[in-house]
Amino acid sequence: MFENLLFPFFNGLIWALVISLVALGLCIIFGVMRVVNVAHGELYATGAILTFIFLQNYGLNFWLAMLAAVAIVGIICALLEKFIYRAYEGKVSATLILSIGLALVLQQINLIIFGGKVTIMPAPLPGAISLLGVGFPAYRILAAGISVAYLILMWYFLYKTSLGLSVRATMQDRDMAAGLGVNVDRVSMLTFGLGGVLAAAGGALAAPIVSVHYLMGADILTISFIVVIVGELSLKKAVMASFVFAPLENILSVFFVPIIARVISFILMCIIVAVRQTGLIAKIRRSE
Amino acid sequence: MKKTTALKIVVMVILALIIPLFKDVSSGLLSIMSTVLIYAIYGMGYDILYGYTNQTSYGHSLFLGLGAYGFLLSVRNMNADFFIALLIGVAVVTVAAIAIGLFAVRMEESYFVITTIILVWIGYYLAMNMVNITGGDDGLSMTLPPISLGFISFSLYDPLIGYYVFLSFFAVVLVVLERIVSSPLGKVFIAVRTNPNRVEFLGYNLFYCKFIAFVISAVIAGLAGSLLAVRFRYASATYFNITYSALPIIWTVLGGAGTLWGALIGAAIYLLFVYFVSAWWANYLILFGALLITVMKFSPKGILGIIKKKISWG
Repeated sequence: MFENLLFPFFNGLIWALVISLVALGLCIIFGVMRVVNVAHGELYATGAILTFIFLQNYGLNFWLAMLAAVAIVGIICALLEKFIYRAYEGKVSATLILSIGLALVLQQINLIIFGGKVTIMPAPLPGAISLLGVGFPAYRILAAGISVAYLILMWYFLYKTSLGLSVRATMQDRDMAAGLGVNVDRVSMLTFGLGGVLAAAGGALAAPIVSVHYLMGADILTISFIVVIVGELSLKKAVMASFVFAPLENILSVFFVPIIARVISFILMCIIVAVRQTGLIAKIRRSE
Repeated sequence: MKKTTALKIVVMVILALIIPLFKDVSSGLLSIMSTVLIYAIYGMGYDILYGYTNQTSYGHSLFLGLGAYGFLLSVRNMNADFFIALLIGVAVVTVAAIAIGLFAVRMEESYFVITTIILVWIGYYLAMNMVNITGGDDGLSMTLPPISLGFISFSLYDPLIGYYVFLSFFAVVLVVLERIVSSPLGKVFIAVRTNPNRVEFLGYNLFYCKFIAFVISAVIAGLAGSLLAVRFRYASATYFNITYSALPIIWTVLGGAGTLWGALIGAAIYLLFVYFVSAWWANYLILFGALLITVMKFSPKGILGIIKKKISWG
């Protein structure tokens, strides 16, 4: 029994890392610009698709392909921020509609360049590693390592550099940061580019694990949204929430059909959000 | 008489009298216009939420799907009468909307959006998974009950009768919503859109106003879902798909948010475009995405906003 749960648990941890990359991207974009970026799932898919295309059609190796894909998506995102979102930053509903439009455009572009097929990408690192007696695909461990490296880089950037300090300042109070001489527009552009980089990196890393498809972003987008709001829009809590969500879902899928496992974990997360957001706990405490 | 009122009457006359004349010329037009009217009902309901109280839900297809299945399942399993089935469909949606609204509407704007996204995915996954109830992706079909008004009964299989049934539902919903919008409650809705803080200062219960708007729009979406099931004699789990949540946003923004009529214009443009263009260009959604961005950037009031400006100037 215990061995049966070990594999989904490890798998969940690796998913948690990929999810926290994507969710972190969503979270900084929301934090700096108040944009609920529905197009984020599409960026994730674009990352995976570009990696696949560079790998198959241009003969690059996986790492170069991933780097190129991530860089392209990052640059596209920075431009999108400048030309599409900037005028509406701070308005949740207007930017939501813009991002729905953008999601439709990106989704169809992905469909045009990749087609409607579901393709399995060969793992760049074949073989398996034994973990506590459970055979585990080597690539997934490597993917986990790369995700950790991305997370550490993000942490270093946000908490140890002066540019990161301006990003965090803009997240807390945009006007105040602008008043203190932070170039808020440039910070927004950088943040959106960074968000795109994280989404594309998540997509590229996940591509050999799941199959590549132009709609592959839909699932991860919803999961990242859940993680972000359970984490109450804070970067660290979002990462923590993804470490609760992904192993939970993976372990539940041992007992239920995968979709039902996902529904149960969605509902659990929804309850957490509802209880915390509507101040239920505070009300109960007050009545005691 | 105001010019806008005259324009509305002209549109209604075209819808009621001119379009059915073309039924022999092109049977396609009548069936498209039936769908346009149903979509317009869905869009008008959404407009109450987005256009009037500025709450952006990205999960209204949950209510559309529930309405469709409420109707379809009560016809299939209980042999229900047309109006009974409609009532059941709408009742199911009302219960769901109240349950969801009670906690979702309380949340801050961004949390509200994300919660609706999550809920619609839950609905979609469940509908896809419970194949023995919903038919999953393939869906279920039904034999339509006739509409009986006591002394006469119509068969909905005649496309012309179907068209007039949908048109009368459209007219009823339009009149009801216009009454609501011009009532004191409607004025508070507009105040919620313009300045929610001030609404609270003035002593209104902000949550209550937003909640009422949410439930109204969800119930209308459910009604539209039931009618959609009638129109196609069929419902499938795809009605729950998030694409159907994006559509009313496209229509209301394109046509003009906060105008009710905008939804009709948006839905008509969308469907006519899809009908004529999708045959030779499968990626037409790219154009609607671009259109959405363009409208938001250059004319946030949509097509009706431009028309209104022209009328008041000329």
